[in-house]
Amino acid sequence: MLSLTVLLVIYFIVVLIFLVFTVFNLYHMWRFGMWETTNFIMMFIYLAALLVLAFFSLRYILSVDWSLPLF
Amino acid sequence: MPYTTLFPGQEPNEKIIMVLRRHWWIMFRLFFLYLIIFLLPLVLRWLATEYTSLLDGGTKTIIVNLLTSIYYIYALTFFFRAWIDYYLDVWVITNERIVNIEQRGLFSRHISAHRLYRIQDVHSEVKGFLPTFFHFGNVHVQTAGPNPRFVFKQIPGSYDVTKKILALVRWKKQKMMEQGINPDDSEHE
Repeated sequence: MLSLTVLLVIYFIVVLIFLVFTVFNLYHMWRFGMWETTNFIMMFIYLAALLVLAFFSLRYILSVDWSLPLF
Repeated sequence: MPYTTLFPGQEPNEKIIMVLRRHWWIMFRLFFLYLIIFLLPLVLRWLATEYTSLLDGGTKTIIVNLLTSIYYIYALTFFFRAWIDYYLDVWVITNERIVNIEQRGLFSRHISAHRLYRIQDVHSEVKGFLPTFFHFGNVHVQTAGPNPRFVFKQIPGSYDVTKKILALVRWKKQKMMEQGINPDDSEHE
């Protein structure tokens, strides 16, 4: 019987794809955005928002019993 | 390493006259769109709690919560992507040339330049209610060369920029003629 872990695996695959996008985004800002205040503020906001999202997502993931059956 | 000059190939004695980006209204519009995108799940969540059993626990709730997490992560990433497109599209006017730097998606960055003396015609175009109200528009730069046209897109004060470029072109050609160089000689660099 399938467990809820299947959902978690799918979730992490999607998050992994997102991480690739994030690395490219940050690379562009770092390489071409130069040493400009606006650039750093935007990078900071982006990373801070991501950390907040990661915190709440992780907190939720840890609260679920993933060994339960899917259906 | 990050670039320490505004654009690659910037000459040591090249003086930057203007750095142009799209008008702030373009970014504001995006901010507003993404604000709606960010608020949408909260509204849907409230509706789901009030009128459905989706969030009463069980597998459906877990799926909805994971999808919400993915939705926000991607919305944030696409918002940042849109910011990069806005911020890294730059038009630079120097005392030697005009440079067009465009970020096209994640993997393509296009940089092209035209010497001032090659410029033949400059005109601006302001179309629509908001561009007229906020004073932004496109500036078309016509040059003699293999890539004859430059378009500065949605830039603030497009009329003033046009005048400034025309004045610079006149000044540059005058300076060249004083030095005994024919500006129409296309081989000169």
